[in-house]
Amino acid sequence: MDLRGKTFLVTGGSRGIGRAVTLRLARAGADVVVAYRQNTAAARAVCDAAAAAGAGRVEALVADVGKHADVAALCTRLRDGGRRLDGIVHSAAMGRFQPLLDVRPIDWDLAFRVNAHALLLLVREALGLLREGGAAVVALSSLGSERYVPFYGAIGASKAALESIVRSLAVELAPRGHRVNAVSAGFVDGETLRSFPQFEVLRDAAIQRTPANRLGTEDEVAAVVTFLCDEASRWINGQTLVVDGGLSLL
Amino acid sequence: MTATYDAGDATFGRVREILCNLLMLVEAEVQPGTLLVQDLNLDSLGFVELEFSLEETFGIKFPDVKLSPEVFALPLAESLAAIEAMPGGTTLFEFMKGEVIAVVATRPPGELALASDAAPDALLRAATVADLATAVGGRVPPGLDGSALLTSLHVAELFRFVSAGVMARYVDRLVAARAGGGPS
Repeated sequence: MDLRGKTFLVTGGSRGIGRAVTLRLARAGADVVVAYRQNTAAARAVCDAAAAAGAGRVEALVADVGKHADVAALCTRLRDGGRRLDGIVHSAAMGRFQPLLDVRPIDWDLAFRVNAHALLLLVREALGLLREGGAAVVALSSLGSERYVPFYGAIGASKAALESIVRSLAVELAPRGHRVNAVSAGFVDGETLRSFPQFEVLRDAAIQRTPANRLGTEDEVAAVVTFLCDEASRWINGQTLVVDGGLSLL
Repeated sequence: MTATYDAGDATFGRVREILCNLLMLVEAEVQPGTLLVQDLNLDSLGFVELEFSLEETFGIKFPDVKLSPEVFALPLAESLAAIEAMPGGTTLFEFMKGEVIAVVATRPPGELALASDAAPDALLRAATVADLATAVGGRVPPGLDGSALLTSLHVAELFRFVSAGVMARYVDRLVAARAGGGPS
């Protein structure tokens, strides 16, 4: 895959799957703008790794993408820097792992603001920055959007909303030549899964139920995200691609 | 001495309303001395959303980008010094430091070996855990020794001292800074 000369904004791009996406894009030679909320050291580290991996140009900009003011400031900075975007990957996510009946408005609002509404904020504010005739927007979802996952009540609902937003944006942006898709990841070995309550129980059950008999990796998910960023996927629009080693088949 | 809030204060009332809405509480459950972590079960994710609501309501910006994990890994005094050295406005922790220093500075000179040294950092090093609780209008969180030096705590433990009242005062500070009427 050759993405040289193209620029992608990756939210949550300093950690987890977002970090893996940043590095995949970097290896393809793309310019990458990493949006991060607070972890400056992680952002700095991924920029160094991306530069070493071959990124054309990589920079990290601080933004809470669930805040309109932050997203507007981020886009203004890109615009002032003369940047155009060939794609946006929305990987940033937040939420508390808890049973749905324990979810308070504070938990619900956080999950929906950062996981779902942020995509709409990003696309709306960055619309003028998207390269004419063919930008790709990819959002990171998860199996919890359509299946029961323990302690995932509010986050799962926010991911379902995210996938719905993806479909609407896909239709509304298609006349401009842009595509909007989602990747729904199954259980992926990484920091997020390890932060689940009863992590070992959940991990073992996921492995047992997955035909591939293992967890996925962040890079395996990132590979699909990167594919959706590439011209090769140009006829895929408004879809949620499930990347779970076959777990959801059973 | 630091300012205090009663339940009728306008800013406190709006902060209380936000807390009640976000946490499904009734007003009586949120008093100026109510500790957000201990009494309302607020954690770091809860603080993120609470701050978002306060930002939206009051038109302010919490400079939380200064509170990176790198800074959190340092001992309290060094952490606060590192935060203060960064641009971007006053964090809640810096505000709380100012509050506790104001309390310590009012002690009779005889009580302090540092009577001749009223530098803020020296006052911070003389402050106890109980001083901070007094300064922010709350109480010493369970499991902490009120007589221990404040600098013996980890900086992240300052979250446990945040009361509804001190959050309201901090909001006032940010509102004043936005309006140019006070330090940022």
